[in-house]
Amino acid sequence: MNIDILTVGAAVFSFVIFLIVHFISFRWVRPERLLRSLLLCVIAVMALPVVLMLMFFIFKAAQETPQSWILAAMAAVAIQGLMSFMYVLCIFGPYETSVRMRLIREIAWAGSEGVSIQELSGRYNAKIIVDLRLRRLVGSGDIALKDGRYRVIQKGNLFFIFDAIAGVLKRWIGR
Amino acid sequence: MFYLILAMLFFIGTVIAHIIYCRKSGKPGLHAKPFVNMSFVALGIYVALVLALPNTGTLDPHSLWGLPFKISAGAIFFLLVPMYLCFYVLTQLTSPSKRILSVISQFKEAGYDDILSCVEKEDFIASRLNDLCASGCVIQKNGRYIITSEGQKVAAILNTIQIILGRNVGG
Repeated sequence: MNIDILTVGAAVFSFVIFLIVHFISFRWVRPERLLRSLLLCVIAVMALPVVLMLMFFIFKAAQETPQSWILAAMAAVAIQGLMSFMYVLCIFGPYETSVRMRLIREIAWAGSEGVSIQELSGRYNAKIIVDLRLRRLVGSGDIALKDGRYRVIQKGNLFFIFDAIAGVLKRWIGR
Repeated sequence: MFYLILAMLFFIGTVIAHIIYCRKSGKPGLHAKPFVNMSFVALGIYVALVLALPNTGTLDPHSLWGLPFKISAGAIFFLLVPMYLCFYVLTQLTSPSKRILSVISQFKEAGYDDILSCVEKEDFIASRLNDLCASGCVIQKNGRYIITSEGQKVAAILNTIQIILGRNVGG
């Protein structure tokens, strides 16, 4: 079989496994464990394409050199990683953390009569936003609570990394 | 290798073209749609090149350089588009988590009330409601926010995601 199709197949299969694991196990993950569990799940499943490509190599699914199989495994990991990244950032992340998505649902639940800003604030407000995020950030180990004060303990966390990349991009764009 | 490098070069070229477009464009706001259009054009050129190249006989499909990773390279290109867009959106958006982290970093340490007052000052709810009105998902009528048919579609998708994930409502 064509090594290219095997590479894409291994990546898609691994991504489907990631989704199944995610759909089953994340039903019970509390917000404070969310970021760490998600990262662990993504990294753990990224090993699966390598295992699959190794099996294809052992069973000679395609007549290629070992170097070609190494390259194929790397490409499969990249594709699977990007698919997981896309799912987390475009579907799971907005569902779980987006203020806009929560507001849309609150307004939709109010029906055709709509909702005033005062009614909305009674159900969803800055305190809820802060409480949820502090629980997540403490749980992920990005910040710590000591003597009633919060401190950043992980300078190299994902937020700062994303922020740094976005900062470079912003400088290039010039806005 | 050749196809992977070709796809990467096309992606880098698209990003450079988008950066130049953003610098030249006088319009404020996000320019995500032009990037998506540019990406589809670049992907189209990549596909055309991939289809044309084997006929020239310049690449040996059994060498490491000429390995036929045509679909894999195209898939990587395709998946890099939303990844770039995520970083691009971050250049003009501050999330509440990022705001909380920056408040704590700025003062080395912060109490709950300091964080809450900073988030209240930012007024995420009002700014996000304005965004929803601007996008046509919500309309404001007599001081009340009412969902539109577009917004109902989004809410229905979110309800479906909630059923699949089995999680509480986010936010």
